Amino acid sequence: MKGFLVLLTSILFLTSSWAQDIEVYETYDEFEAQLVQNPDKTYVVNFWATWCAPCVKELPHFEELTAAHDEDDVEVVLVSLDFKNQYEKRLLPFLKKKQYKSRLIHMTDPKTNDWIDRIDPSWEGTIPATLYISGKKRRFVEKAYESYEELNSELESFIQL
Amino acid sequence: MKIVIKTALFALASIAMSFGVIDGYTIGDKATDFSLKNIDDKFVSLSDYPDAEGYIVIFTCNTCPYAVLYEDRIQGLHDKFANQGFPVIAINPNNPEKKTGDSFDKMKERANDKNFDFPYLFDAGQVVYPQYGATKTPHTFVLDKEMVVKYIGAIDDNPQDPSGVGVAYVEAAVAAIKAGKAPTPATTKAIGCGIK
Repeated sequence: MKGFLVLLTSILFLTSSWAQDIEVYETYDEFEAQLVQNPDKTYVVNFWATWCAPCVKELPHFEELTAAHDEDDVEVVLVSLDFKNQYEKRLLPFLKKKQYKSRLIHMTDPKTNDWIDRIDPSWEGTIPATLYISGKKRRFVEKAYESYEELNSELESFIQL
Repeated sequence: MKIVIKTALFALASIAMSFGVIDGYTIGDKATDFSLKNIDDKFVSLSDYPDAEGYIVIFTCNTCPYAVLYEDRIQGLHDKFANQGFPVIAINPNNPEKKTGDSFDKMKERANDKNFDFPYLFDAGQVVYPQYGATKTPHTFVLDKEMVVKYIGAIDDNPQDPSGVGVAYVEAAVAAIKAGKAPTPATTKAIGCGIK
């Protein structure tokens, strides 16, 4: 009986924790308000979508970053820009399959021209793109990382900035 | 910081120039005409439209999800403005060796399925898009009668939902040109897929 309860609790925990793991924001304002919760941490915020092949290809490097760093120091945030109507059809099945450990956000504010400059004025509008935030310090990079080493050295150089 | 970025871009541009890449048009530049093959196998140039009051040149493709979202709106622009002297001229800039879904045959298929009645041209050898400085699909250039670039950027401000559009940038640009005014905004950021 005890074993069954433990099993039941862990199943409930697993499913509910997984469901909790995707934060959905329909406006950029909400997203911005929730993104940085600890000013002492370094945030690595990657913008991607399931239909963007170079994005999907580099996601494992970000997962490796999550695994390699203490969660109190570095937080990787994967921000999906999949369209709102693709959430059930494409994004959820994709994430279920991949089981990413990084923090997951689905940002669906459609008024891209309004918020893109607030991420960074130099953003041309292509993904993948990555934003590094630590306190008031920011760096924006609009490219795909070819390797974990390349991504990690960018993070290290940002931290030392 | 902005100056640093601009300097860096300038340095990059100088390097790129030595490889024969031009950084593209800005507002006020005169666009060069082209002759590209249409899906009906005939070649199309801007000068084929002697009565045009201007041109809506859209770099777009079959495969980018953003381009697909805009297909009906691109046809809509042509329906609305072609007979007012502003035809839509769509150009697929992608290299089909990198993106097989954007081959000339696939363009024909897509145009047929969607009943496009604007020209949908293939930028063979990827010669025209670098001259314009297009970087994405879809990426729009509105030209006036003299082929002077008056607007560069997105079609409107809501790729995902046509019913949620607040500002229809291209429509506003055409209206401004018709009224003899400069479009505002003259540039926006085209959101889409990088040209392959």
